[in-house]
Amino acid sequence: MTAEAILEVRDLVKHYPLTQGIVLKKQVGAVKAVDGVSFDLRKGETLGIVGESGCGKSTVARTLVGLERPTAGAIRYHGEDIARLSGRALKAVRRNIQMVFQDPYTSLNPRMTVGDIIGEPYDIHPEVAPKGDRRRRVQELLDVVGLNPEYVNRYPHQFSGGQRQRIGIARGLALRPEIIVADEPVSALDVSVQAQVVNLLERLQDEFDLSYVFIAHDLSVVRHISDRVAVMYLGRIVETGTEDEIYGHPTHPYTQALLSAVPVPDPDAREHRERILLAGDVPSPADPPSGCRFRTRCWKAQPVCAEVVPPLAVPEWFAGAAGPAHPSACHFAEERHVVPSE
Amino acid sequence: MPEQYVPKEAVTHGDGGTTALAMAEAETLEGGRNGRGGSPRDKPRSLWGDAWRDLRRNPVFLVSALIILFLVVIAIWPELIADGNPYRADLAKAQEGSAPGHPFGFDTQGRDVYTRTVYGARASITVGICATAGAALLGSALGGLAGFFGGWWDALLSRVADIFFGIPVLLGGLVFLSVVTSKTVWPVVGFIVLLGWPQIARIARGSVVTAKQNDYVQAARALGASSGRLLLRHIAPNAVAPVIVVATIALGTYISLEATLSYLGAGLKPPTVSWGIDISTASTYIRNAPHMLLYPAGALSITVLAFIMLGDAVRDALDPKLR
Amino acid sequence: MATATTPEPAPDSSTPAPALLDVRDLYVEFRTRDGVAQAVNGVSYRVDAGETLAVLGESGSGKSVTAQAVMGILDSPPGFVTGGEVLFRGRDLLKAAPEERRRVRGARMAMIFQDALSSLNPVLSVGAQLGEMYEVHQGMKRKDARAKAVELMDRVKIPAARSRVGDYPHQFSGGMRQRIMIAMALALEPDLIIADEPTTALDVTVQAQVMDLLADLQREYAMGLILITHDLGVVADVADRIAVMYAGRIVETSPIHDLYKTPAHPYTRGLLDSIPRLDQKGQELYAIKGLPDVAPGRSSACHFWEETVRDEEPPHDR
Repeated sequence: MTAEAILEVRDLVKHYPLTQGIVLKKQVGAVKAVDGVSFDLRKGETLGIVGESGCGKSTVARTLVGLERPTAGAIRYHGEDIARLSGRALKAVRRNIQMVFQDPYTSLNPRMTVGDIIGEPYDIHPEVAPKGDRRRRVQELLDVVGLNPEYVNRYPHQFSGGQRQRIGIARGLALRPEIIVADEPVSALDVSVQAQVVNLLERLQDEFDLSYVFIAHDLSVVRHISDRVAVMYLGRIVETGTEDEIYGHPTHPYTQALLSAVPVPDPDAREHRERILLAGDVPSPADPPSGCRFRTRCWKAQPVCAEVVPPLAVPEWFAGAAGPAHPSACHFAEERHVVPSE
Repeated sequence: MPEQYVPKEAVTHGDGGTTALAMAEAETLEGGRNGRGGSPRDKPRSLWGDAWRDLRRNPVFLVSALIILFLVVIAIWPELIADGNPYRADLAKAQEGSAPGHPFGFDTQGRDVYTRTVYGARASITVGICATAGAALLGSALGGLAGFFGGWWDALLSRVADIFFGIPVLLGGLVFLSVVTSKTVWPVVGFIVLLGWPQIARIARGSVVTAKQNDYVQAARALGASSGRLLLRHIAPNAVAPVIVVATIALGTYISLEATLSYLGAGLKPPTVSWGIDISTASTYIRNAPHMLLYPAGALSITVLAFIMLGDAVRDALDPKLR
Repeated sequence: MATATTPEPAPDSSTPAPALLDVRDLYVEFRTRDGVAQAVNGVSYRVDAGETLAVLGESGSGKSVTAQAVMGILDSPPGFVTGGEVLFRGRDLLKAAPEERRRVRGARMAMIFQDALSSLNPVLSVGAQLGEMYEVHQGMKRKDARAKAVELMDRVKIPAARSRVGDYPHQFSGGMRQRIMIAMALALEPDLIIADEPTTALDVTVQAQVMDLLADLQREYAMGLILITHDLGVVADVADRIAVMYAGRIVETSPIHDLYKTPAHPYTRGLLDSIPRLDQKGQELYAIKGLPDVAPGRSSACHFWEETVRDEEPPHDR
């Protein structure tokens, strides 16, 4: 996969200030939701971002689509930094980066018909479709996502969760974007419905040549849909690589622990599977540990981990080796096999 | 769903999901309500449609709505049911009880109590509706903007609202209205709006803050929607229900506030015909001629009760969770 | 038994040692203004001491409603148990007096819920809530109850239990709160624990910790455990036997190893094929068509078959 990078994220930082006082607000600290994240998204690929709650993956998604302004860093779409844009220019870029939300029950306005919901992008960007053409386009979109085009006059509450998520996807497709940022798009759905929506997303990717940023906490779903994967912990990417590099050859202890904790639907695996049980909970992003952020829960932690921030880089011992070299932010990165292969 | 729409690729195995009704709700009561009971519905239904369906079956709503309809009609055309003149006095009949053609008797100036009670509806209904409309518009505009934009505007508005909350209603009314010389209903309406808007503003603010956090608002923002569009198309329709409920209930209390102020001599002033004024006059003669008090007071109670009952019914219909 | 597809035969009434819990042909319906919804349609399952039964199903399958009926905490109205037996050590709880049921609940069988934050009282310290179990059920003094609470928190591996016993639920993380819920359930050393999606709200690394703890404690106390979940992975990790529910019925029960190797029911097979696997880079996922729909008046033994697979077998040539 060597296609051009259409989205380059560099040193993205998003801090939420913590304030005290009612009238005269004084900043007493900051929640460091995202603290220096860099990645590329290439044309036609799916980048999966995984991590546990509070790791900042949803904040990354929200900054990508312009719902939050980054505190620092750049988000370059075809070379143009959209984090610095505003007004008309921002609106034009937004057409090309759309979002699919997690909760199909709250992401659709209950007072609007399905036709109005899917057609709203055309109201906001009237240059995309002439007025007379909109109804036909909306019906086409419904058909594309596998819903009856005659349902345009129905309200969201008349649909099941999976169908609503299809409506949300249709809205995301309306402006023919290049990139879709999907924030936990299937985690609110039942297993069998999940499969339908995942399949739909994959089919649409081929059909419309889309690039996905797919954010999820479910490592199995991410493996299924992603070409490349970034693992986040407390506002930073700890390891990134292709799907096979991350799942087959993880080198960061957090990735290894995360993967080993995922239950595998195979009762035979439970005896001979190695599990890494992490101690304790994720520290608060308002006061992250110094140095390596994972060190408080890591079994490999040494004094150096508290002092030096490990860079996200290909470990030196990979150099020259034929193996799957990929960046890992650990002073003691080493490969460990944790996912049972078939 | 009445018909199962099968997309092209559903025939083979793959992405073929058309499903029955929302199953996430199936383990809750909602599931039953949504028509799982074997009667799939295909008519699109909105919140207002649902509310209207609930209301039509609610006897409390039907009774109170009929009373209010009747009151509004006689407020506009009192001569429909009372052909007398509310100002014609016949001192010879002062304080007399009911007589043929004068079922409610006469007041202390010999005016027909029935006619005055009927004509009194106009003042009460006018004050109630105008004050509510004013307070609701002002309150929801200010509160809604405060909730939407937040920041210093929100802080300022909340403090101002607190100041108005702190004003004792009756004392404020006596002071404010005693300096006004107009004999129309408008000073009273103005005063009630002035004291009533903070209550509505609070509700509207909270309601907008809640609605603002919904994903669909975020979705519209991500599409590049303007603030006006977000407010009018996404937030307002989802935030208006609590405001309507509170306003309907407030309407009843505003009517009784008008009567109270008029009773104290600070509200409406003669020659306006008002239940409050008549109650005030009649209270002096309560031992000799209780009927003078009974009829206007009864009319007032029924009116206030009708509006409060209507508010309750509307709240039940719009917000089933509160039930 | 109404379901022809439930392979497990009803145990003979002359069995010498009755099962710990034996649910027989349970029916539950919800009566609402808009009609009656059949939530549970003749469910039967049994759990022995020291055994873990997983009840697997998607939302709306009736798995939680069944558990609520067993515990006797069904919201009634609108929920009503309309038939069947819930035999706890041979005694039918549905026929027991409310006072007896209340005594059984908590002391003999306990329940763990998904959302620990809303299941704990926010204005009482966790020590007070744990101690209350002893004060109410065993008439213990407050001071002794507090000591027992610390002991319990130690047992569920809450660090620094002694200093945290006075903390309030919101001061604990999600995983720690779920441990407190487990401690509460364990307090009176019940014979049976019903855990309703106990780890669904937790992150994977925390989920692993909590499931581990639950499995350890179950072994230690030789309790029966009913694990209600939608997650086939969690089930594979801990369960001995599994009952798959669909549309208010159990479509298949079997020992855990058999179910994953040779699922008998098409729905089970569909479920297994529809989940993405951590250990496989799959191609297209198998998508089950249709969703459970509990409509009144249906009497067919197998809804699933009728609705989705009548015309074709789900392909299995992945």
